Amino acid sequence: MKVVLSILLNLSVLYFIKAQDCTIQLSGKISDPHHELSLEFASVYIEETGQYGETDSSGNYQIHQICPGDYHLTIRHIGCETKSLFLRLTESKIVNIEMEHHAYYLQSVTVEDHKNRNESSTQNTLKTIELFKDSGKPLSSILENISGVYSIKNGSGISKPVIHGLTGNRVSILNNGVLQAGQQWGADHAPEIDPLSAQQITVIKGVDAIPYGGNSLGGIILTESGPVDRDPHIHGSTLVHYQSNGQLVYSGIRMEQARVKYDWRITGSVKISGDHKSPDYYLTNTGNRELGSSAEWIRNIHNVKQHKIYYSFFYSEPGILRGSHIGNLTDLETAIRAETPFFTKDHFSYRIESPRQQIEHHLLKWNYQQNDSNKLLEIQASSQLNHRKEFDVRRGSRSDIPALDLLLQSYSLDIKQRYLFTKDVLYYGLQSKFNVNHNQAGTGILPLIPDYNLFNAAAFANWKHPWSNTILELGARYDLIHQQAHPYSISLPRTILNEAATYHNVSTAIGIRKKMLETWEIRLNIGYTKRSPEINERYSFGLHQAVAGIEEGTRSLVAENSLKAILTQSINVTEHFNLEWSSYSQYIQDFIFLEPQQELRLTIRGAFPLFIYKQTNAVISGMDFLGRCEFARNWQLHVQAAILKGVDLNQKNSLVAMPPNNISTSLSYQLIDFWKLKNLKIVVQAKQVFKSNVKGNRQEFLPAPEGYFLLNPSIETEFKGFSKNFKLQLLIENALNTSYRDYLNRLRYFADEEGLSLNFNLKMNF
Amino acid sequence: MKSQFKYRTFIYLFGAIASLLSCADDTPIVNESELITSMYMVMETPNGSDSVVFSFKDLDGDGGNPPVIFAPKLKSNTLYQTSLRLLNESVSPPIEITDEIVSEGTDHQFFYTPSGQANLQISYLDFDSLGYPIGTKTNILTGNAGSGLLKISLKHLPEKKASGVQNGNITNSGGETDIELTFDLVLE
Repeated sequence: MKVVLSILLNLSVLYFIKAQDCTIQLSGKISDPHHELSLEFASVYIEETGQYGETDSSGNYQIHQICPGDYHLTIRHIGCETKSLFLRLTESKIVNIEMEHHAYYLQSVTVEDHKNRNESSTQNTLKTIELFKDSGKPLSSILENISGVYSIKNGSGISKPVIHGLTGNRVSILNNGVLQAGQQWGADHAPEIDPLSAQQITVIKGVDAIPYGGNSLGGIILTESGPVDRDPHIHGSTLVHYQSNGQLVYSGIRMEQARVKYDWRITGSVKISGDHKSPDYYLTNTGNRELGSSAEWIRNIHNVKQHKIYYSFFYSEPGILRGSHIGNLTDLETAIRAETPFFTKDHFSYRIESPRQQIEHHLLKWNYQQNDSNKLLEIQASSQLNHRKEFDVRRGSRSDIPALDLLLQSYSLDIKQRYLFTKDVLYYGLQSKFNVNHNQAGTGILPLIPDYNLFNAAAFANWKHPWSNTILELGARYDLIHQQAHPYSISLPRTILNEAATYHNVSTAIGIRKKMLETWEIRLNIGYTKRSPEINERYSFGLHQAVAGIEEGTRSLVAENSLKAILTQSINVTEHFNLEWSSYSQYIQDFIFLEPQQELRLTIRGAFPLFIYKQTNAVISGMDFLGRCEFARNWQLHVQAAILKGVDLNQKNSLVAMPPNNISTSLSYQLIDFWKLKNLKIVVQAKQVFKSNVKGNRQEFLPAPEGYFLLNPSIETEFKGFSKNFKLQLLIENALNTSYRDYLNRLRYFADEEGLSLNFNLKMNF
Repeated sequence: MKSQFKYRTFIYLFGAIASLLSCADDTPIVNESELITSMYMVMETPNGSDSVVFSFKDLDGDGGNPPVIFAPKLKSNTLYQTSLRLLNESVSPPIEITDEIVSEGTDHQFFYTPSGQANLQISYLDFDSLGYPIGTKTNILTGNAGSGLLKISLKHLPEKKASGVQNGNITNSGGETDIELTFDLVLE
C-alpha cells in the first residue's frame, strides 16, 4: 500500500513541477574503478521521464532539461551489470558513476569499507556484483569463478572452497563481518551461508589475514550484504531458478529501503532438489532442501554514528549418494569396481533418506560505528548457533537417530579503530571469541570429536603508508588460544577426561603495491602465519565411515608455521586487453595432515587402514592467470587458469587432495540493444580440468581420475515488461553430457558427476 | 602464573555468558546402543562328541587395543550344529545383539566363506519372514583334513534375491558390511 501511495505522491509531484523550470542538467563521468578507465557507449536512462544520455569517448554523459523531482536512473554498459540509482534533483548535478566493467576482476578487488562511500551530491560510487548467473548454486561453486579457487565436494550438494590448495580449518569465512563458526574441519561440511544474503563476495588469497584471524593459511572469504541504496522507496528483486538435472527449484527475494531514520533489508530463499543424474544413471538420494533468510536494520545518526543489527538463518538438508555408504574396506573395493553405484534406483525422486545431513545456522550481530573526521571506531558483538546432525544407515530402525549431533555456540566481541593521518592509515583492534562445542546426547555412537570450549583473544595492528605511486602496508597480529577438551578415555571403562592447552600464535605481513607504469601494476605480499592445531587434529578418534578409515588425532601436535609470498601483476596492454597473473609459493613447517599408516587396524567389521594426524614440511606453489580481451566491439574472450603443485618435503612425494590444474575459456558476443532486448549476451564457456599429477601415494584407494572437458553455453538478456526490469538467462551445463569424475569429489570412488542440465534463471527488479 | 591469571578472567567473563546455555561438563557417557564388541560361534556335533567355541572380542571398539581371537580346531568330515551370538560386552551387563539382527531378519544375512586347504559346506537353518536365510543357525559339514581361513560376514540390507546369495555366496550380496572377521581354520 505504501508503495502505491508513494508512487501516487511522486506522480503528483511530477505533475506539479511540470510547470516549473525544467532546466536542470545532469552530467558526469562513467568509469571502471579498477583501471580508472572511462567507459564509452554507456547509457543513462531516467525511468520516470524516458530521458536518455550516452557517454562519449571520454566517458562523459549529459542529460538536459530535466524538471526538479525524484528519479530512478538505470545505467547500462556492455559487459557490465546494470545499475540503478535514486536521485533527488533540485538543481544541476554532476553524478560520477563507477561500473564494474567485468565482474571477473573479483580477485583484484581490495577490501574497502563501505562507510567510505561518499554521499555528497556530486559523487556516487556504485559497487555491487551480481551473483545472478549462479543463483541456486552453493557458495563454493560460485567461488569457483575465481581462478585459484577450487571445490572439495561430497556430491554436488556439499562442497567447500579450496584456496591455493588449502581448505577446512585453513580457510576463514567472514559472513557479513563475522567469522563463520561451523564444523569447518570436515571435508563434507559445507559452509552454512545463503549466497543470496550477499551482494558481494570477496576472496582474499593468502597472506593478508591480519584483521581477520590467525588460522587463515589458505585465504579468506568475505560475504558482504553491502550498503542499502539511497532510495526512499521499497526496491528489490525476486528470482526464480530451475535446473533440469535434479529438478531443482530455487526462489529468492530481496527487499530494501532507505528510510529517513533507518535503512532495512530482508532476503529469503527456498531451494528444493531431488536426485541428480549422471549421464548413465540417477544419483540416488542426492536431493537437497535449503532455506535461507536474513534481515538487516541500519540506523545512521547524523552520518557520524551508525548502528547495524543483522540476523541470518540458514537451514540445509542434503542427501548423500546412497551407494557411497559403505561398511568396510571390502565394501569400498566392491563399490569401486561396480559399474553403477549400489542402491541406484531407476527413477527420479525428491525423497531424501539416510545418509543425510541436517544443518541449522543462526547468526546475530550488532555493529556500531562512530565516524569522526580522522578516526573510525567500530564495535561489534555477535553470536552464532550451529547445529549439525548427520544421519547414517543404521541397524534397528536407528536411521532417524543422528549418528553425529553437534551443537556449536560462538560468541565474539571486537573493538577496532582506524586512524587517518595526513596520508597514513593506522588500523588496530582487539578481538575475542568464545566457542562451546557440545555433542548432543542420544546418538548411541562415540563422538568423533569431543566436547570442547575454545577461547581466543587477539590484538592486531595494520599500518598503511602511501607514496606517489606506491602503497606500503605492514601488519602484525597476536592470537591467544585456549582449548579445553573433554575427550573419552581410550581405556575401559570409558570416562570423560578434561584436558587443556594454550597456544600463542603470531602473524605478520608486509605488502607493497606499486604502479610501475600507468598500465602496469604489481603487488607483492609476504606473510608469516602461525596456526595452532585444531580440536579435530588433536582429538579425532574413531571410524570415519565416509573414507573407510580409522582416524586418530595426535595430542602433541605443534603449531604450523607458514611463510607465503604472492606476486601479482596487472597489465592493461590496451583498455580492451588486460592481463593479470599471480605466482605464489608457500612453505609450511609442521604442516598437519592425515598420514596413512603401514598397519591395518583390525576391528569386528574387518581391517581398516589407520590414519594418524602427523606433521611434515610442505611447499605449495602455483600460479593463477586471468586474461580478458575485447577483440572486437561486441566480442570478448576471457581466459582463466590455475596451476598448483604441493610437495611433502619429508616424504619427498606430492601432497594429496590438491586441486588439479585447470583452464577455463569463455567467448561472449554482446549486443546492448537488440529488438526490445537490452544487454543481450551469448556466452560459450569451455572448461578443461587436467588429471591430478598425484601418484604413488598410499593414501589414495584409487588413482586420480582422468581429466575432463566441459562445455557450458548460455544466453542472457534484459528486457522490460509490466514496467519492471527483467533479466533472463538460459544455461546448459555439461552440454556434451560428458561422463567424468573429479579428483576432489569424494564420490569419485562411487559415481560419475552430473550430466547435462538445462538451467533457467529469471530475475525481476522492482 | 600472573599472565595466565589475566586471560583466565577473560575466559570466566565469557564463560559466564556461555554457561547459561551450554552444559559441556555434565555430558553423560554415550550409551553405544549399536556397538558389537564380541562374536561367539558355538559348534557342536549332534551326538555331543565334540563341542567348540570360536570367539572374537574387541571390547574397546574400533581402534585402541587389538581384538582377542580364539579359533579352536575342528574334526574333518564332521557335521557341526552351529549357532552365532553377537554381544556388546563393553557395558555390564552385556547387551545381546543377536535378537535385534534376527528380528530384522529381512535386512541381514550372515555369510561363511572358507578359503585355503579347508572346506566347509554350510546350510542355513533360520529364515526371515520372506523365506530367505539369516544365518545365526547353521549346519556346517567339514571337509577333509587341511588348514585355511574362515571369513564370517554380516551384511546389512543385502540383495538376498541376487544370484547365489540364498546359498551363502557373498559375491553378489551388495549391502553394507556390519561384521567381517576371519578365523584360522584347521580341520584334523
